[in-house]
Amino acid sequence: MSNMLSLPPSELPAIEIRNLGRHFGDFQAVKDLNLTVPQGAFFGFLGPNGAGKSTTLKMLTGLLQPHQGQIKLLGEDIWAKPGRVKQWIGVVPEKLSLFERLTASEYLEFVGGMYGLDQKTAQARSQELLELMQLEQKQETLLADFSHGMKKKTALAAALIHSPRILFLDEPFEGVDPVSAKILRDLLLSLTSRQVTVFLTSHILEIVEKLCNFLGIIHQGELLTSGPLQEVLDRMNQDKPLGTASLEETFIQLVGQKTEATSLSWMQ
Amino acid sequence: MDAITRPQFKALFQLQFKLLQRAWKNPSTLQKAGVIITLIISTLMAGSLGWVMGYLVVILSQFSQVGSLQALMVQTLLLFMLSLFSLIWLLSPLLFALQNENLHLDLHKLLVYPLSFKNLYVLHTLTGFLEPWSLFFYPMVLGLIVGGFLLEGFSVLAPLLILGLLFGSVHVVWSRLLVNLLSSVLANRRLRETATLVLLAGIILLAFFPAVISSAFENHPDWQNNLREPGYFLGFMGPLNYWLALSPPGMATLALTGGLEHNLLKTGTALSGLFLWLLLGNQLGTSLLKQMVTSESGSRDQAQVSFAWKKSHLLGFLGYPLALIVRKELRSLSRSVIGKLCFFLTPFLLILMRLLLISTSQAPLPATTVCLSAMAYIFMTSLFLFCNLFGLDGEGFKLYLSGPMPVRRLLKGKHLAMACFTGSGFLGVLYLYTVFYEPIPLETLLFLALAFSCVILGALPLGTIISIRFPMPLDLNQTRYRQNATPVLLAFQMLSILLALPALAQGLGKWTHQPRNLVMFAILGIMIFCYFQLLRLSEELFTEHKLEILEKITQPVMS
Repeated sequence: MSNMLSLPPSELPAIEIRNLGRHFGDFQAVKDLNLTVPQGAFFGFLGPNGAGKSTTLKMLTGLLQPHQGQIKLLGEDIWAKPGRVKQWIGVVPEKLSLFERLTASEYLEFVGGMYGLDQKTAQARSQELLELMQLEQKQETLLADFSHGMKKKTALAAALIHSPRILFLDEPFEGVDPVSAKILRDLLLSLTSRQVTVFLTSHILEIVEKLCNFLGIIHQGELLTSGPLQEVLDRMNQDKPLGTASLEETFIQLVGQKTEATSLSWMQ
Repeated sequence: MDAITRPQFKALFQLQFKLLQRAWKNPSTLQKAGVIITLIISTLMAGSLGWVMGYLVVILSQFSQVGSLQALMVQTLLLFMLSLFSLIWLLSPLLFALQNENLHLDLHKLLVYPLSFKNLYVLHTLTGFLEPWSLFFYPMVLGLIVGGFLLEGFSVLAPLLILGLLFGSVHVVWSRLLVNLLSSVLANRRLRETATLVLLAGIILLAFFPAVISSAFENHPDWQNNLREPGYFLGFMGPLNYWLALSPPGMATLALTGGLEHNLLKTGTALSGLFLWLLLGNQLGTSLLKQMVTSESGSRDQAQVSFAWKKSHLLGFLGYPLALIVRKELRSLSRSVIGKLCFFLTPFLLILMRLLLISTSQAPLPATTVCLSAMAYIFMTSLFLFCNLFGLDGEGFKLYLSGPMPVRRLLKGKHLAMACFTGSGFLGVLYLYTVFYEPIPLETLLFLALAFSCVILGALPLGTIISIRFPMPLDLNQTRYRQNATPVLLAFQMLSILLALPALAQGLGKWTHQPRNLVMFAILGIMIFCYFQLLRLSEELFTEHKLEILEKITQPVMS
């Protein structure tokens, strides 16, 4: 398998971002972002709506060119060698770019082929993935006829088919049923135990708290904090006993949102 | 540099083949039979076209030895046939991409895979040889060979197959580029709507093209002789001929004639030209692919929304809820493609008409004739909106029903918005008339304003009644479901009657020797009375059928 032949050494950081920036006209979406994620980390990337999470993720996966800075994935610059680096990564983007006139199995086999897998391997893996995602009954159905959750699961299966070293997931649990979500969570945790790095963006703090061991919080394009989850929580809540601070409190404290507005002045 | 692997190559070709298969796959047997028949007919037509071209080339090879006028004629004919073929090859993918975005190989969806931009684009282009429009190229080439062979000119044709392949490659590259360009444009709402307008302008321009050509001939002192002389077309006498000569069909024709005349310089120049077209297409395509990842217009819309919100406060004087409805309706109309088309179509036609008449020394057209005709055209084009008042609302209609909105206010709001929309179009027409011809006399201006008011006072409530009776959103191209033509026919009948009112005023004025404006005033009085009566009727009907309307405008569309 071609992608396995050129694996980088395991001591390199999975993701290394230096001074990353991107603007849209006058609007600065991401400002001077610096971040290092070690291999095997389950990294949760948090931020309110419009904070710059998806823009960062697009730049990390080679879907949007940064205006400044450098991104290294497993030691290689993705924008210098996109073809090589993209072999190591799996992506579930915000807007699922599926070919909807293919069936689920056809789509997975196509993706396998694009990552250099021979047809036999791609077929075997797609069968396994469809069973894992509980989509084997629907494998001959066109993706156009899938529900949003089913499409999400197919996209996730496609991101896994080539055995990536880093997984980038943009809101992977959105629209997925609780049973499948549990299977996905277990799968992702087992992947990280095998040194696969997972970079996940989510609005659901509970998921991040339960799954992630590393955390980064972005707000208005700036990375406010990052590091091992517990370390970040303790650092941000020094007035509390160690290990007692919650992610929700920390997140709200960092992004500076008002929390007192429990009543509306006109609803008396 | 990363090389393309065999599985990647295979995966992309299989994907293209599957998409091609699905494009022809339809659920019913009747549709399947239709597709097969269309396929057979199209293949036969492409084959025949190739056969005729082969025949022409052989004839040309015989004429070229003499260097006669007939050779020029055959050459011209060949050029036009190639241009037609070229046009079909380039435009069909665009129409197909507009029709169903899931059936073409969208480059946006391939960016995630481990391929360099250059390789990705090359692979993507190569799969273009498996597109439906490219498939018709093969029977055409086959027809060309057979046609030439039957006329014992195969020896002439054989080396030209290389030319055919180059010609085909140029078209595959350019059709891919145009489709990708279209996809990028369609991804941006503003660009999409502007592109629709440009397309419309292009269609109108094409429709007026015979008139432009004929006036060019008429203005030429020796046009009858020129018409008989094929060299008129090939004599580089205008931008069209320049384009024809430099375009891929022009280059192909030049290479063909060069080959037949054994003129190596001519053939070499033409082949280099075709090759340059190929390189240019490939270069532009790769740049566009890079552009796709360097730009994204996500956040710009937000800024625009806040600007639009500030602007909308202009209608505040109408008070709640009229201002709210008018604001919402005008926003929907101005953002919808159909709204923009309706608004710009008539002024655009007026400009074109003036441009066509610019070379002639005719007297200025009378304001009443031009403006009344333009008014009729405005109503005709926006008739779809008048008789489909709730069609654009969709799920938003629930807001009207769930809120404490009095029905009368809702209908008045919608009417006011439509009146503003149509009225502003008419004001534009009046302004353009004064710019193009001469200031409109006050009496005429008053007559036009009264005429417009009369027509709109009738069109609004009558259109509402039709909309209540047939609330289903109208689908003008009828691709989604079989549509009832009754509302459109009813609306046309309504419009015919209403547009007769200004004529009636003119006629009555002449007959009774009274000023036409006085008669028009009387008619306006009657129309105001009718409007309120019809509004009351609409209100009753609407109250009775509002849930039915909601159900019909929100039901899922059958694919």
